[in-house]
Amino acid sequence: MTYFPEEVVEHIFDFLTSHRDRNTVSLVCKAWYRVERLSRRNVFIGNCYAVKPGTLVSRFPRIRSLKLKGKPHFADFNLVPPGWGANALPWVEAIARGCPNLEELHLKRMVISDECLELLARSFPNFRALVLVSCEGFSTDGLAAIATHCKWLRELDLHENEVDDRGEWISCFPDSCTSLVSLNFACLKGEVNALALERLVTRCTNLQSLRLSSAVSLETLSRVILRGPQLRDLGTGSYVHDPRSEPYLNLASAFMACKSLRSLSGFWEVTAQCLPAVYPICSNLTTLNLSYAASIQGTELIKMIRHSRKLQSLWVLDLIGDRGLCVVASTCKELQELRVFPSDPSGDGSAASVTEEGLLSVSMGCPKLHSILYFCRQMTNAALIDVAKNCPRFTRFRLCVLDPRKPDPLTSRPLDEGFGAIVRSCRELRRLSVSGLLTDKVFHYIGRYAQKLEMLSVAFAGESDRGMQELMEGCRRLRKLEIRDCPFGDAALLKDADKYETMRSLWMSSCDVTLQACQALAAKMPRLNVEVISDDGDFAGGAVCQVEKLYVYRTVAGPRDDAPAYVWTL
Amino acid sequence: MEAVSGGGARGRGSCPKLLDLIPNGGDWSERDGGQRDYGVAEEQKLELRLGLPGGEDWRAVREEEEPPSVLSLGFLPVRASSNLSSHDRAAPSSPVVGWPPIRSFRKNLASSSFSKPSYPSQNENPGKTDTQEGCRKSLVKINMDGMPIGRKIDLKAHSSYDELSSAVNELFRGLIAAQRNENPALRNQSHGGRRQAITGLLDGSGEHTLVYEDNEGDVLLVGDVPWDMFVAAAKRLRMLKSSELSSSLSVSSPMPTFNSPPDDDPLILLKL
Repeated sequence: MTYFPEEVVEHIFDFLTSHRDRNTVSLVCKAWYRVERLSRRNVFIGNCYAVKPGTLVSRFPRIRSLKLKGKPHFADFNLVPPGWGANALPWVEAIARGCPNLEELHLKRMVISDECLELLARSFPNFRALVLVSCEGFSTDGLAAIATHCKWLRELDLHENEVDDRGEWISCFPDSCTSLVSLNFACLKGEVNALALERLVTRCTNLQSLRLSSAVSLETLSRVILRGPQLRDLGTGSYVHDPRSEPYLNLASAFMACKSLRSLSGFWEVTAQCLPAVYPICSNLTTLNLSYAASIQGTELIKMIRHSRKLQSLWVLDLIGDRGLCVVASTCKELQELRVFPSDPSGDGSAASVTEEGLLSVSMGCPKLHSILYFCRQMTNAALIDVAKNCPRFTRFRLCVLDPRKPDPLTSRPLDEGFGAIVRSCRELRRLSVSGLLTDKVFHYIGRYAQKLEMLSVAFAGESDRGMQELMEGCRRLRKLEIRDCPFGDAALLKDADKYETMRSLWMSSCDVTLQACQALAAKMPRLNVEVISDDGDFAGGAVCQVEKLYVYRTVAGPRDDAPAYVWTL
Repeated sequence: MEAVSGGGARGRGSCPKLLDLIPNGGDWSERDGGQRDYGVAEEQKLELRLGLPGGEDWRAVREEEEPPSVLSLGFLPVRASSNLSSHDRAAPSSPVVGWPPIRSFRKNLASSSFSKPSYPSQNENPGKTDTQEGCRKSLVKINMDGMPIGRKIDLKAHSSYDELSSAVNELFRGLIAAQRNENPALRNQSHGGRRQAITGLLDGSGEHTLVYEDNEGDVLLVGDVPWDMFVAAAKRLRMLKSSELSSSLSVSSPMPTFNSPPDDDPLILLKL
């Protein structure tokens, strides 16, 4: 290979699409390292503090696309206090200086300000795609800057962000903007200029994906659909109207013309009598997300499902009930991914919910099912054992029994055996979340059988350090481990310190780890950042004080310089 | 004496367990099974030392003691009794931070959803939708006679009847204009197609009069009670044609209700 000119080597590397492969070839020899780094177009950084922005830019000066992840996963559930970090600005500044050809930026769980968005919009003349997932810190002013200055914008995807509403911004897309392929602003709350939206959809003839916010009325939706019958992915806004009215009738006929629609979501507020307009589309859908539709009741959900025989991915609220899941099982034979969210998370259990029966019926009826996120009121070992038998192909299995530490209601036993069956049967399992009453035994099973496990989430489980130790010993491919409210302490933390360098990160909160142990870990492993978070910013307790929250991650960037007062890097 | 195990789930030996003395001892063991373990050794010693009358002889105690006395000795950690109470309830007494593990916006979905704003039909039960709304915000439906599409108005966003009146005016002006524009017949009426302010809602002088339905189902004129009482009591609003109001006051004619379908055929109004 070294006899080939660099262009040839580069061309060969073009066929390597996975980050892992490209990382690997760059280690072969200096020549390959050089070719690889100069030809690299996409970079993925799973932890924005693992490397400095400047390092990225100097190694890969020609990147076109960057994907960054910031805060730890548990930040989604308010376990990370505000102001923690994960600021996008240093990255955008560095890339603006060093890689002006940037075309795409994907950020997840990061903080990005309006100024940063403005800088982004002005610094990259070829900028095409901005994807923000679970981010915060910006407002519609920043979006207005993007709309105004990014001439070739193809994709603007705002997925479940916290955005301040400072006014209308859709009208900021200039008349010359015709390149949009994907526009998702479903998470916004503010006013939308319906006319501007319609005009935008009309002139962007390549638009394939459009997800509207709840401020967009059904009437506007019907006009928009008329202009964009080529859409493949639609998120409705507020789905409320008089079913006898003209706009609704128009919508119904507009839907009939949408032959390409494969993915549907939205339904922020719903008039049940208007749902029939959607039925003709349902038969072609492969993706259906009804998890925001808190006002569609079980019977209506079931009607929609009955029309959706081709579904591959279904996200739904537990309003669907076990009965509805039974219908899913008998109708959706192509189903690969199912997510059932709780409709009343803080409730007293009297609201609708699903149980082990729903999961069981889906496992029996859907042979292609391999990814599940399931919030339920209760679960039994027997059901889990059967599910494991029916679906040995799970790659992602996340089960959340709403009541922490709830045992199997039939036997009053912990759920160790059920999860044990899952990991034993599902050899390809990469992601697992466990819940319910669990002892150390479940970790013994996981450590022993879940050899491909990469990410594990544990809450209110285990009895002693042994649990975590068996986990760490056994799961060789573990990359992310997040634990809360478990009795794992210093011995478990320090058992295999070297392992943390093979992982992206470890999160432990409300466990039994002391400051002393964390300091010992930090001293032993200089290439880890051991960050201790104190909720009240107070580290006065001394070496034996319990650590409230611990976040450990490997890094080549050293301790970070933007940590707030309540974060102490040891 | 060897330490007493705190729970059957751990299987640490078959000696009689303290928890067996308590009714539903099996449940207790499960409850403790998931708890933090580091204090258990301490607890066990306490259980023995401060022990039951008669020292370490279990069997004698079992016959004589009543299980509740174990609790009353108070040394079983407070945690245990709180376990009992939390187990009885379906959910923990105080919400656990970050549990269940869903993003914040999902927690607010159920309360911010406007339930089912459904339209008047034979199958409709208006009471069903209104209860949900009443608990959360003061968003009430408001319909205008002659207009097939209603609006919603947040009563709590206003502080007086006058404000309400102008807000209602704002809500419906656009719809009225749209309606007039659609229907050439209406365009030529005396209002001449321009946006006419809706006035006189409260004193009977205008074309429409505002009435409301209270939580007992009665239809009342808006304006009689103090504003706050009105906000608390009003479940729906309606703008009756003042002519209909006067005719309904005669004994023989039917009471204006909130469930009757609009007089005009909406399809004609919207000019198909």
